Amino acid sequence: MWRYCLRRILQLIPIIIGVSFLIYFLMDIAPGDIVLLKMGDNNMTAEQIEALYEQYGLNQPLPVRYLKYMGRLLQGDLGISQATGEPVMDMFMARIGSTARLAIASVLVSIIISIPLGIISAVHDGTVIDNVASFGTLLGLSIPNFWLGLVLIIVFSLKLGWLPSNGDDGTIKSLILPAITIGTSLTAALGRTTRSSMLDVIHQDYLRTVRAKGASEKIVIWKHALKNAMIPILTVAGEQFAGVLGGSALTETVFAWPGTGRLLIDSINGRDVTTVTGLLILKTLIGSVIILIVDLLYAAVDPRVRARFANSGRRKKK
Amino acid sequence: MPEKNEIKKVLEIKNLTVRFDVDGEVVRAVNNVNLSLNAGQTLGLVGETGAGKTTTALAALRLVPDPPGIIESGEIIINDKNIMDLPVQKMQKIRGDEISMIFQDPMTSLDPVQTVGDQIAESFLLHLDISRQEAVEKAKDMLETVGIPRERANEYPHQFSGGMRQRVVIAIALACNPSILIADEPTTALDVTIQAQVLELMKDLKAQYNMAMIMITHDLGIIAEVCDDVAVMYAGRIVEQGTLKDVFNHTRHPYTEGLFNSLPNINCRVEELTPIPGQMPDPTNLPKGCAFAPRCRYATEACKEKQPEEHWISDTHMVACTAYEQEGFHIERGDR
Repeated sequence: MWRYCLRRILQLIPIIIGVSFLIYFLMDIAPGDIVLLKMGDNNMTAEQIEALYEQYGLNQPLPVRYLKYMGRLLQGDLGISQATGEPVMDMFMARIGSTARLAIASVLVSIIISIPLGIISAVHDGTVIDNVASFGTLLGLSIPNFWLGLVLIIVFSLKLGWLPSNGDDGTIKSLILPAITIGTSLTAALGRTTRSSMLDVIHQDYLRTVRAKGASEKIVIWKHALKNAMIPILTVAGEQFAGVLGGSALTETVFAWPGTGRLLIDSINGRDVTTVTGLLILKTLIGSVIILIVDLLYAAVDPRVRARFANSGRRKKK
Repeated sequence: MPEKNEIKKVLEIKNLTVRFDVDGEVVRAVNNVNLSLNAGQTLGLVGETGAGKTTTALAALRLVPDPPGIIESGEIIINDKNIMDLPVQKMQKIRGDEISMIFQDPMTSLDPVQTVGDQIAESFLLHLDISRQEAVEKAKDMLETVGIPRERANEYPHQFSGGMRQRVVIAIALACNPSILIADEPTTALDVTIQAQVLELMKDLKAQYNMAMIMITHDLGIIAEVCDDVAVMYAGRIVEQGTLKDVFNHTRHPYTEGLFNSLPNINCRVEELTPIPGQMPDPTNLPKGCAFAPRCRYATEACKEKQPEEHWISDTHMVACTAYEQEGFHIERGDR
């Protein structure tokens, strides 16, 4: 199993090189740069502008800038933000806590809504109940995030005054509205995955064996069927978690959530190439690690996967 | 079958009719079947694939999948209780405790993500008021009973061979010492060498636990080896029924004759096999008269017109064939 993890981690190296190059290149061809933005309406002499370009290292050609950046990255240094002058790592660390809490809460909302709905749909396949439940999960997909966020703010913050409308004060209260906003948008994918995965399992012979033992439908579905249907559900939930953890720009903006998604948007608007590249590299890293963890969780759910992990090392040596 | 009052009846199926509604078509799987099983008796249920054997068995546990399956009519009486009227919770108490079933394919009938020990222990936990630990201990005892070392209780189904898995399935079915065991082609999916072992095990356990058993199979050899009585099914009906001797040595029904004729004869290898011509009728469109008539070489116009009635040749031997209404009718296969 350790060999497998090591291989997966090594695979990250080319991915990160590719990601960083793409971002660097795209940011360069985007119109405008940080110097033009700083300049604004101020009248500056050509010498002053030249000095600013030199200060940000932008007077050098793209390949040189990129290689310098990669050189620092190899030493684990994500560089200094051109916009704020702070280390990118520090800016990220200051915000990842909020984003992580939001990600956990959102995926929990998604799981709590979509897994029961998906199971009910599958058990009542083709009936009115199935249609209603499928409609419910589809609704979550169809409603735009920012719109739902605004409606929730109007109802629960402005009209009822129950919950705060913006910011992260570290309490569960401030987490509820943004988590519901993101969570409902995730229910469609997770709900449909749960439904189709359960449908695959629900007609299997081994469930008939369990029924023949005298088990109730509750045991048949929730103990035996769900555990067998778990791998696709885990995959989607893991991907969703990785996605939100990478920052959800829209919702974080609507709720003025001090997370990495908003930081990314601000940095792109400010043409802060170092921060944008750094944030996206971290996002890639986090996403890959979470997907690796999910892959390892398969082994916890399914003994056949466990056996494959145990064998993979041995077979190689032959 | 006439009453035998001195022997306890554990299972009685009366006028059972099951249909499946699939895409607007009605599949008539079981039509007016009567069966009864005494304590300790082994009944063989023979017939081709699709004859309604498995559906009959599932109905006895009330496990016919609904939808699409509907038990149209009939009574099923297990140990003097009519299970058709029972609420679901009461039925769950009976399943696995008074009546158990072994399924055809051991490769798919065990939950792949639970240990075999847990799967056997679940039977105990469902029906006995014992702790988890005691249940696991009893599950290990059960594994030994079916010839698997108790240390293997923590292993998963994929670590066992087909024959071993079928032993586990048998252990699950027998855990709570049911009075009736239904074995649905328990050896069909196994290698021939393993078949004999599993059959031997089932025979031993049946005697040890004093169960009544219904052995569903299309293998007449297995019937001859383990059964006391035989019922032959065709297109959802029982066409001939009697003791092993009645059906094997004094065959009466043309379909049963066809089954015997399609067996290879080791003493006469030059003789070609004589399979029954044609196919079983489409269960969505059964003929008005005898369902076997289109394939039957003795069929008359009368056979095509009306459903055959039960003819009792002796106290134990029944044949459902219209031809026996003619004086002196007999099939080619003689008594032996």
